[in-house]
Order: sequence, then C-alpha cells, then structure tokens
Amino acid sequence: MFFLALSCLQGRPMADAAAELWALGPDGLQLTPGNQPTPGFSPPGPTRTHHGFAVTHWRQDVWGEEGGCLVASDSVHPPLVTESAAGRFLEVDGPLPILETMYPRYALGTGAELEHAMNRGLRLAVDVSHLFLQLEAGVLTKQTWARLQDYAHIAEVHVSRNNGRTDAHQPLTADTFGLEWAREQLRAGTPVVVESYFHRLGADARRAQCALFDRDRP
Amino acid sequence: MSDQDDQFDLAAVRALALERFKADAAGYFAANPDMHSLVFAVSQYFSDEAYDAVHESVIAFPSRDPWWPHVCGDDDDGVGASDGSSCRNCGPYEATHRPPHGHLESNSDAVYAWSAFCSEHGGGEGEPELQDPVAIARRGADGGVELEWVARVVRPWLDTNEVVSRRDGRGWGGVPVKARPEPTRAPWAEAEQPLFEAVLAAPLDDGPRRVLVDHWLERADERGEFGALSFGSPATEALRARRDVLAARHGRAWLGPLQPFISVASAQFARGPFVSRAVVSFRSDAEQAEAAAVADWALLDAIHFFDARQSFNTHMRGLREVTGVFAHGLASLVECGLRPPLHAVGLVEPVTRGDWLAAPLGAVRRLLIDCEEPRRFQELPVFSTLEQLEVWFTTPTDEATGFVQPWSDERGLMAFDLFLPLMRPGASVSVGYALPNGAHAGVVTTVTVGGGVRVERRMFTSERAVKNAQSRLAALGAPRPASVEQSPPQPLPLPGPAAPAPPVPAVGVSSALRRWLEKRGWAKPRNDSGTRTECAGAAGCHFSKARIRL
Repeated sequence: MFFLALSCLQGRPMADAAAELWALGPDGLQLTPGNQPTPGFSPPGPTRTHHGFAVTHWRQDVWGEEGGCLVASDSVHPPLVTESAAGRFLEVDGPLPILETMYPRYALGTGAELEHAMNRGLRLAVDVSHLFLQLEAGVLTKQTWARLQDYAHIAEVHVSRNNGRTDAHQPLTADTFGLEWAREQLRAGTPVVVESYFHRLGADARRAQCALFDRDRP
Repeated sequence: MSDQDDQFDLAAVRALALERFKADAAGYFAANPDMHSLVFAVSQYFSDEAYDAVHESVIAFPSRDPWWPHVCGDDDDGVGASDGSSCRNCGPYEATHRPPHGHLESNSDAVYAWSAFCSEHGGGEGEPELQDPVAIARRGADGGVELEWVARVVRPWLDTNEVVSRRDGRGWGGVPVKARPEPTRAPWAEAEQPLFEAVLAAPLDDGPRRVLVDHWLERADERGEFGALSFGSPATEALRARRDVLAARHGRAWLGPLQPFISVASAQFARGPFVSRAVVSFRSDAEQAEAAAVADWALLDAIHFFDARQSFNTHMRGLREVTGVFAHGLASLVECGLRPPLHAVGLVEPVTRGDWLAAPLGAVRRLLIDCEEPRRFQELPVFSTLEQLEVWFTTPTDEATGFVQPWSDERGLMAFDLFLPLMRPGASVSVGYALPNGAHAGVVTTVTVGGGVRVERRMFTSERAVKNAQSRLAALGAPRPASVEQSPPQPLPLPGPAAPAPPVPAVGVSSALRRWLEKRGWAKPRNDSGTRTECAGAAGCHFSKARIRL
C-alpha cells in the first residue's frame, strides 16, 4: 500500500493536513507526530501509526528510561544514543514494534547496528533517506546496504530526499537515493510511506510526488 | 511561562524575549559604533519525531534600515558578509563585536512564542535565508534603542495560549503547563446593545462609534479610554503608549465572535475598541460557513485572507482594502452582492477580465499582485486607472525540491516592461519580493510614469505592518520609535567622497537593472563620483534625487 505521512504537512492542524493529503489519493495515511491536534479528529481512510503520534497532542514520549516502549504505534524510531533507553530497549521482555533505520546519534544509526538488528531478525522500517545519511557519514557499507535490501523482515519503507548531511525531508526527485528500490518494495506489497515536506509545493507538484509510484501500486 | 503564575501566557513570553533583545542591542550598539540596526529573526526546524525547535538569531547591519535576507559571509574569516551585515555564524569572534544571541529555550518557550511566525520551510536551522524577521532594534538618536515589531503571522492556529497544552500532555521537564484562558467579550449590557448595533449599521461613520465610546467613558470603562485615544494619533508619547497597552491587554476579548477567525497578533484596533485590520483564516469549511453569520465583520476596514479558504459575506460593508484574494474569493464578492468601498485589492492569482468587471472594483486605485508570473495579470482592465501597482514576486522555490531558490532581478524588469505602458502619467509601479512568510520586503524598485526611478532596500513596506508593529511593540512595553512614519521609502545611503568610510554596504542597483535602464536610454554614463546626476528617457526618469549608485 502507498501511504503519505501526516508529517508531509507537519505543523498544520491535524484534520486539515489529513484532508489535503487524502485528496491526493494515497491508499492510506501514516499518522505521525507534530500536527496541531484537531478536536474529534478522525482519519479519512486507512492508517498506520508512527512513533509518538497522539490524537490529542503534538507528540508523546516513546521510550521509558528502562527501555520499554510506551506507545502502541506500528513503527517507532529507536532512542537517541544519549538516552538511557538506548542501551536497554533491545533487551526488554515482550515484542518490539517495528524499528526504523536511523542515522548517527540514534540507535540503529550505523551499519554495524543494522547488521546486529538483522542478525536478531527484528522487524525494520527502512528509511532510505536515513540510510543515505549513514552512507554519506561513512558508517554504512555497500555490503550492509545490499544485505538490508534483501532482508526478509522489512515491514515498512519510508522515503524522502536529503543532501546527505541533514534529514531535510525534501520532496522526491527521480534520482533520489533508494527510490527505485522503494518502488520495488511497493510492487512486492511492502507498505511504502512518502515523508517529504509538501508545504511549499503546489497542487501539481504534490500530485507529481505521488505519481512517482503510480505504476507500482497494485 | 508567565512570571505571575503557573499559567502560560504567550504575550508575556514574547515580551520577555523582546525585552532581552533590546537590552542586548543597547550593549551591542555601545560597543559597535558602526552598526546601526539589529534584526531579531526566528526559524523552526522540524524533525520527523516532531521535535520542532525554534532558533532565535540576530543579524547586525551597518545601516539604520536593514535589508533582507542576510546572506552569510565566509564562516571562517569572522568578518561577516560582503555587504557589511553579520550574524553569529559569520561575524567577528570577539564577544563585544559579535551579534548577540536569543534567550528563549529553543525546545520550549521559543517554540510557543514564535511558531506562529515561522514559515513552513520544513527545516530552517542555521540557514539565514530561511529565517523570518520578528523585530528590528535601531540605534536611537538619544543613545537608546528603538524597537520595531515586524513579525508576520503565518500559522495563525498557533497564536494562542492553548498551544502549550497541546504539546505532549505532560509539560516540559515533567512539569504540567496550563494555558492561561483566552479572554472573551462579555455580553453587551442592555444600554450597549443598540449603540453597538448602530456602529455595525454604519461602519464608515465615526458618529455611532463616538457615541458608544462616550458611553463607556462616562462609566470609566477602559474601552472608552482606548476609544478616546483611537480616533487619530494621540498627542503625546505617553498617551500612545497607553493606547497600545490597552489594545494588548484587551484586544483578544475585543475581537468578540471574530476571535476564531482572526489571529490576535495580526489585529489592529482603531476608531474605538473595534478591530480594523486583521489576517483572516478559516480552519474548516464549517467554520467558514459559521463566520458568515457574524455581524462584527462590519467593523473591519482591511483584511488579508490567510489562504485559499476564503469568502466575503454581506456583513463586510466597511472594507476598503482586501489582500490575499483568490479568483474564487473575488467570485464570492460578486455572489453575495456586497458593495464595499474598496480602494486597494491584493490578488494572489489571476482573475479573468470578466470577473474583474463583474466585481464592484471600480474605485480601486491600488493593486497588489503576489505572483510568480505577472504576465497572467496583464489582461486586467484596471491599469489605466490605477495610481499604484505593486508586483511582489513570491519567493521562488525549486519545483523539484520545494526549497527556496536565489532571487533574480530579471522577472522584476519584465514586470516594468509589462505594466508601465499600461499606466497613466503619475502612476507608479513597484516591484519587490515577498519573503517566504509573505511579507513584502527586500530590494524594491519603483518607477513612476513620467516621474522617476527609485531603488530602495527596506524590510517591510506596508503601512499596516508598520502601524501594527508600533502598536504591538509599544503594548509590549517597548518605546515607540522617534519617527512615527518608518515606512516611507528611504533613498539608498550614498558614500560621499569626503565622508569617513564606515562599512557602507554595496547597495548599488543590480547590473540587470542598470542594463535595463540604459537599454531604454534612461541613464547617462556615470560621472566621476560614481553617481547619476541626471537621467532622461522615454518615461522622463530622473535619477539625481534617487542617489542611486551605479
């Protein structure tokens, strides 16, 4: 399924953002933190939930100090390496949510940590823009990236564009890192989520972002 | 947080930030006699975890009127930008010569205070061209600091104390934060009701307004006190300050049933304690429909529609100026049969010739166009009767990336070629750029048909912005500028041959404009001093007063 993240219009009132994005024709919306809550908000279609999303607030805490996950979201970011949860979250009892591949400063932010996660068979949300940051930072090898592309437990794919230095969530272009692989994943049935910022894009440009995946949607 | 209690008060946090900025400016000006203004700007950085830090920046300028944007110089040499401006990224390393920094905590109070003014760049951390100006501090004639409020509301839904209670449900650092309740307007007393209805019935008439103000004055009501100070400009600085304090204290309540549709930071009150100018936004179709039933719209002289969700209603009888208008907005004006006395209209997308003629726009003398492509407006049947045309190019963005692109003069010159032949003698065409937050700023070029050419750098150009800035700042406890009228264009500073050599920025006209002028025979070769002394041509342009350095 093809999803648009609510964070495409991060900062906007929740219901407005959802309505604008839903009008672009995705299969569903990924509910992400960072929108102004709308009283009585009800999503207009199928959803996945991500990280600290909350209907009533901009965000909520995701990791407890002991490493327990505090939210019931489908997928979450691992903790920052400076958080006490960083050394414990993989060891707590019970099932883990889908963990997103990150970039340096976060757990799962290096190739070595991704190798460890794959060795354990963890379910992963592969954010290709984060992996581009890892590659540019020199902490991810092509071998690990290749292994990740064939990994059996990829539960989501997140796509946006950046310059290799900051997680800027720029709109996609045809040559965006990982885009072709993400399209393959979509064709194979993996949920793909576009997370680019749409705020400054006109209606045509927004539709063009979605059209990049038209031929890959079932 | 408010110092007075545990309730969060947006106005108090903003006032605190500006108070500190002003104190910093005083110290900076004392140590840097060549610098004459500081711009306080903000930018918001979003992350996909919804960390949305707002960063405060200060940029120093060698002139009294700063320009925008500041483009950083080399980070490593510590001498600032080539035009003489500098910030903490590119300015001197010595503490006394380095522009000051902001004081609010980036991840809490700064977010609450400034989010409503931060453009939706989707990541503005450390990128000066993505910052939004909030205030200007100028070196005062008496050695003090003059503060001007220039913020522009771009996300009105965040201009409320409620923003603090919707953050993460537990406050910051585990300390619950409660929003101070927003004040509301008390129901009209029995004697007030008919007087207020008389105000609404004749929005252009001061008479009913004065009657109601007198009614309040007789009862020692602060609405009467404000009203008495709001017809024209009060005589003394103290009275003006008192007027602005009252507006800041009660303005949100005075909005009454308009409060859901108007950002209080954008509101001005005049001719009584009645909102006269404001940014209008409807957050849903239902809210827009509800708004049409509110009779208080008659109070407004000028509105700016925040976005495409817009419509006129039959209550808006007093409108003289409306900006941010889409084609369907203009259509709603026709449909509702409203005939307001509009003299200024701002369009953000083209309307057809037929739609313009169908609308009651015959009295319009000032047209503002915010656009990327001015040719689409060329067919409007209005240019021959206009006194003033302003073409504001929206900040260009890259279609592929959505991010801000460098500005270019070429489109502006095309606008002169398009519109000057359509205008009558004495009318003027101005071309400038709108900042990402929609503010009209930057380098502005004005050509008057049969008159002259004027090139200027200015931060904000609208009278509304200036007046709003003054009243808001004064309300926040800042002193008023020595000069009431800050908005009139100033000629470019010209370094005279005998003058000492302060770091005057290179403010000559662009090479593109120079070529454009010379191509039309409007400019003679430069003289020895590097200035134009005369200029004549097809439109009789005259340069000597403009003091343009070519």
